[in-house]
Amino acid sequence: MIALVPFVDPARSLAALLDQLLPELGPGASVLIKPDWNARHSPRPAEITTRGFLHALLTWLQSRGIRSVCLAHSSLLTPPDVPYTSFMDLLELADCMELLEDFPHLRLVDLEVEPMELRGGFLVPQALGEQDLVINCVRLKTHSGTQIAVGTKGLMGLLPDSEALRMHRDGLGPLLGELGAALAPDLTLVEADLGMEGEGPHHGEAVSCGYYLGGSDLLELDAAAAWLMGMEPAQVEHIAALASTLGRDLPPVPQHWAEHQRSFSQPQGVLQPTRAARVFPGDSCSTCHVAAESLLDFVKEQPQEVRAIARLAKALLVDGVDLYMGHQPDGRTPDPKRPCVALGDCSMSFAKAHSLPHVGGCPVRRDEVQPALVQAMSKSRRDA
Amino acid sequence: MKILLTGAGTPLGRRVLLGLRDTHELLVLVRPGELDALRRAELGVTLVEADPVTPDRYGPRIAGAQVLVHLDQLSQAPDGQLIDHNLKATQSLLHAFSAWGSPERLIYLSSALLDHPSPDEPDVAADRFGSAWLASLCASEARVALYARRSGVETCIVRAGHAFGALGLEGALTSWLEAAAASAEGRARLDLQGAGIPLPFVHVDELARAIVARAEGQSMPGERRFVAQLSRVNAVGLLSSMEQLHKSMCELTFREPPPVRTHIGARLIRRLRGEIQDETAVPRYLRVQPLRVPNADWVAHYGPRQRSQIVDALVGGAC
Repeated sequence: MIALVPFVDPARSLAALLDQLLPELGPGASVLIKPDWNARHSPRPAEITTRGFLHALLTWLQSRGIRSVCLAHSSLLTPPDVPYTSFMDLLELADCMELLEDFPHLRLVDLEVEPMELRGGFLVPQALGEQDLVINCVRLKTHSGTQIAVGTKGLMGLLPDSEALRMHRDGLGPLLGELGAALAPDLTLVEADLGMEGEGPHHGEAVSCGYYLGGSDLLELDAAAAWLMGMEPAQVEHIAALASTLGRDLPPVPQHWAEHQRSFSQPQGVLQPTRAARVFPGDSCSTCHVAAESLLDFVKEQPQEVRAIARLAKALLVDGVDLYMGHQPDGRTPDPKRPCVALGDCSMSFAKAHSLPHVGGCPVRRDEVQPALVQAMSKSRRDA
Repeated sequence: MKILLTGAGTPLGRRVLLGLRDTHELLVLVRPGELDALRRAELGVTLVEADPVTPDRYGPRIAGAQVLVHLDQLSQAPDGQLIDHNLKATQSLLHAFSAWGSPERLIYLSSALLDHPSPDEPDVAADRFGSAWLASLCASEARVALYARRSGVETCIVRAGHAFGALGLEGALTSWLEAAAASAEGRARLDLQGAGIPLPFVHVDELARAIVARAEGQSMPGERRFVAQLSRVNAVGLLSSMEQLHKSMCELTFREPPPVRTHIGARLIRRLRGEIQDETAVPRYLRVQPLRVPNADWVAHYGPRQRSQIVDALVGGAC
């Protein structure tokens, strides 16, 4: 079952939605809430689950007499030699510490430190199996690697960082389908008063959508979300994979919600972190992103490397350089006029096919990638 | 018994490996390129070669492991490597052990000399303790303690301090440690003047024997022989942070009073009368654990702590 309610304010809209979806929920149930917290820096609008949404959800649960509620999330993926972006960091970034004062019974569970079990081939925290109800809170966003980041993609916040790394490495599309089948939450809530289009899930622009969406059927919900974002559900790889894994046909699109449909602009698959540099993220994970970002710290950390700093600054600000990470879509070819570098094992075949300088590793270590990238960029510039 | 060992390339790890390989099915996890061919042949065991932070790659190969002996730690390395080796590798190893293994016992070597931080805050920021070394070890130990509490696996955190008597001690501490070790070996204890804090030392052979025995479920003998009082901690720049940690640990922990010693004959009679219940193989001193006042929410959720599940083995002594 899925439902949609127009957005008025978080408390009223969410209460209306939950009254439809969980009419019989009563005291005594234990509930685990997994917010969508994936920002490492100040979150952009529509990037993460907001405090207001969680407050409304906790208030509704409290009104039903439910006292056993925990807020749970795993760490964000970082290179092994970079500290965790841990659950407590995420709680602070989401500005949700006040929730602990308003709801003193609320427990915090860092899923990264929980004992794990295998479920459907995935490393999954045992804590998930101890709850009566798992609620997966997500936003309505585009995603450069998976087209949309809604219900199924949001489940990755339940997994330890090593498992997130494996999924990016082995192919997000098929594995997300398997994950959705293995880890189907009891309820998924989509906070879509604002959505994110363009270079989601982190660099996109907010767009007004004006509704909350929710449902207990992950496949139906993701298919409806994709349709509401102006996409054909069958064209979204992980939705098709989820349907295939579950042995079901794709559910029909909810035509009666047509008034809420709007066409989200799709990710172009290219970011521009500096004036002349471009990053083609593909479906890369954050280890490559964080390691590549360390280039910007090179000046601070290696001030004695004057020549290397000069070459790097020229590449990033004047000459330009293209950095390819993750598996690249079919048909993409590097610009022959620009120096190019590939990073991480996922981009190895792309680098080989186009004879690009390649800095390998999975997971990549920041301290290894930084000097290797500096060297590779210098070399690629000379070659170009 | 199927035992998974890490850190086999260290002087201590090699001794533990030799102590276990003939009597148990031993799986040795090594990092790629950690051991050269000569050492591999010398070890004579099947190695699982993998990056510890990728449990999906080595998990199936450690399937069924009942005991984890985790000795792989760094104390002198760049910050990134400390976080990688000490914290993230430990966490991933625990994930793999719990998912693919059949966990019965966990032996974790800690040189942090720390109490665990609050359960709600397992990752301690480096700036809180002034170094990534302490922070990474502290956070790692906290994660082991959390794992033990949540999983119920019998866990022994061996706070061994510095092992002496082995080759391979490196870095700025070397000469200082060697002198201290020579002193300790001569008198079986280190007793320097004017120390503000105790820093435990233990002979590597003693420590290895103790860990092997603990992995087999036996006690860890002879620990307080190596309690040391050191005066030259200042020389290695550890004093301020260590002193703070030590105070923190002592002020925030409690201990059970020492058991009343009774004559062996009297104990035998009391046992025959049924006044003394059978004790486990773990001696009392190993069952005493320094604990902070428990977090009320934590207790409400996970129930009261079960003291028998975690032991802190203060090999080399402390406090």
